[in-house]
Amino acid sequence: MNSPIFQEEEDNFKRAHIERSLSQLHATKILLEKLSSSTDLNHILHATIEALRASFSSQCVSYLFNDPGNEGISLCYVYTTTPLRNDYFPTMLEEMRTFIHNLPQDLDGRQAIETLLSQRHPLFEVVEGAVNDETGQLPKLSHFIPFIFNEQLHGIVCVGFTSEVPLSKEIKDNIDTIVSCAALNFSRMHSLIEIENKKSLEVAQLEAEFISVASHQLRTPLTTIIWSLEMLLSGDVGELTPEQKETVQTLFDNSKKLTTLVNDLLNTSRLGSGRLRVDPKPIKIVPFIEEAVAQVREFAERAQCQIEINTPDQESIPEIPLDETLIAQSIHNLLTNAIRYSPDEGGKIVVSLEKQDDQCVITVADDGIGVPLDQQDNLFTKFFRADNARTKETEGTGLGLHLVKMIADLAGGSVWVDSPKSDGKGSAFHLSLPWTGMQSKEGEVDLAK
Amino acid sequence: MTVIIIDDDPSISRLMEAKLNKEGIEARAFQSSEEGLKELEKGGYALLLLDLLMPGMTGWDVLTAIREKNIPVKTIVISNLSTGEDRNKALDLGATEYVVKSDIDLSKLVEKVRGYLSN
Repeated sequence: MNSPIFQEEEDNFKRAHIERSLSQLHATKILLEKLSSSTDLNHILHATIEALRASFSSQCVSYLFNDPGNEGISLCYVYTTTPLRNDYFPTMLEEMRTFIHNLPQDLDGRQAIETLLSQRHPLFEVVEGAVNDETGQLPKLSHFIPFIFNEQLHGIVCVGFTSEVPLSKEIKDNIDTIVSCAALNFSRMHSLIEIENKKSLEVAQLEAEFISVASHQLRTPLTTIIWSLEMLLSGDVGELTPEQKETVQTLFDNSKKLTTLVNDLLNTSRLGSGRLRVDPKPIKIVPFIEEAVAQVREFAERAQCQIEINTPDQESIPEIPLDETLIAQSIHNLLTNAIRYSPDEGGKIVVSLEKQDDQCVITVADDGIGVPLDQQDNLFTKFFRADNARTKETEGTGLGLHLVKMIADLAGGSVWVDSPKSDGKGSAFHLSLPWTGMQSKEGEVDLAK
Repeated sequence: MTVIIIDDDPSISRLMEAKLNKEGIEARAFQSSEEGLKELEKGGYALLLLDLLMPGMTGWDVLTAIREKNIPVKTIVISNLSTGEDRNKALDLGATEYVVKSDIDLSKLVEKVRGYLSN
C-alpha cells in the first residue's frame, strides 16, 4: 500500500493528467465544432492553431500549407503570440516552401519530417538563430505535424515553444490528435469542395456556351427584322399609308428596344460572371464620343432632343487604352437614358469632356425628369429603376446604369450622378476614366458576341 | 459592279444588296465566301461588305486571302461579333472599318458606303 504522501503525489499527478486530458478534449471539441461547418481551408488551419494554443499555451504557433492547386507550398497563415524578428518568417517560409516543393509527392507526412530532420535542412539554422526581440529567448520549432489528407502531404503544421524543456510524449500525442483531427475533417471537406467545384465549373461552361450562342443567334434575326422594317418605312418596297407607317414605326421602335434589351442582359451576365475578356487599345476619346452621339442622333431627333457636344480638341487629350466595345456600351447607355428621360416636348442634352490630372470625365447632362434624391444611392444597382423612371418609361430593364458602373469599375474609374444638376434641372451623369485605362484580361467570354 | 457583299445569311445579304441597289449603288451579294472571293479576284470592286462568322471560309480567312493575293479593295467588316478582340483582329488583317450589324441602321450603312465610293 502506498504511503499517504505518495498517494497525494499520485493523486496530484492523476488530477493534472485528467485536467490536461479534459482541456485537450475541450479544445478538440471546440475545434471540431468550428470545423464541422467550414469548407474554408484558411479557417480550418486557423482554428487548428487556436486549438493548439488553447491546449498548450505555446509561445509561438504557426503553420505552413501546401496548396495543391498552386503547385508547391504556399503560406496561408502564420500566427505567433510573441513578435519574432522581422526577417525571420519570410526566410523560413521560403526555405520551407522550397523544401516541401522538392519532396516526392508520394512521401507520407512522417517520412517527410524524418527527411527534413535527417538532412539537417538549413531551415533549422534559421529557426534556431531567430531571436525574440522582446525576451531574447530562442523560439524553437520543436514540433512538426504533417497535415495529410487524400493520402498526400499537403503541408506541415509547425509548433514552436520557447520552453527549453523537451515536450513529453503525452503532449506530442495530443498535438498529433488535434492536427490529425483537423486534417481528417479537412479531407472530408476537401472532397465536398471538389464535387462542388466540378459542378460549378460545368454550370459556368454551359452558361458561357448558352450566352455565346444565344447572343449571336438573337441579334442576327433581330438585324433582319430591323432592316426590313427600315426598308418598309423608307418606302423602298412601296409607299405606305400614314396608318401603315405608324404601325411599322411601332414595330421598328420595339425591335430596337428588343436589341438593346438582349445586349444589356447578355452583357450584364458576362460582366457579372467575371469571365469577361478585355482587349484594350489606345483610343482617341473625342472622335469616339462623336461617333457614339452619331449612333443615337436619329433616336434623339425622333424624341425631339438636341445633342450638343462640348469637348476640347483631341490633340490636347492623350489616347486612353480602352476596350472599344465596353466603353461604347457605357456612353451609349448614358446617352439613350438621357434621351428617354428627357421632357416629352423635347430637351437639350450636352455631352462634355473634362481633362483632369489623372483622369478624364465624360459628362452627359440632360433636362429630363431627374433622379429623386432618396433613390440616387441605388441607381447603379442591378434591376433598380427610380419611381419616376418607371412612370415615364415602362420598358426599362434597370440594367443600363448597372452596366455602366461595372464597366467603369473595370477601368478603375467611377460613375456618379448630380441630380438636379447645377442649373436646378435634370441630371448630369459623370463617367470618369483614369488615363491608365483598362488592363488587358484573358477570359472565356466576350461582350456582346 | 462597285460593291460586293459576302454574308452567308441570305436575308441579310439580300437586304443589303436590295437597299444599295435602291439607292442607286451597284452591289452584288454572295452567300458563299469562296464564290465571293473568286468574284473579287476578277477585279472591278471598290468596296467589300464582309461578314465574319461563315461556314467554310470565315471573314478573317477572306481578309487574309485579300492581303495575300493583293486584291485592291477596301473592306467594311459588318458582323454581329462586337468584342474589342474581334474588331482588332479584323483591323489587323487589313479591314478598313468594323461595323456591328445590329447596331447600325441600313440608311447609316448606305451613307458609309457612299462615303467610301466618293473618295
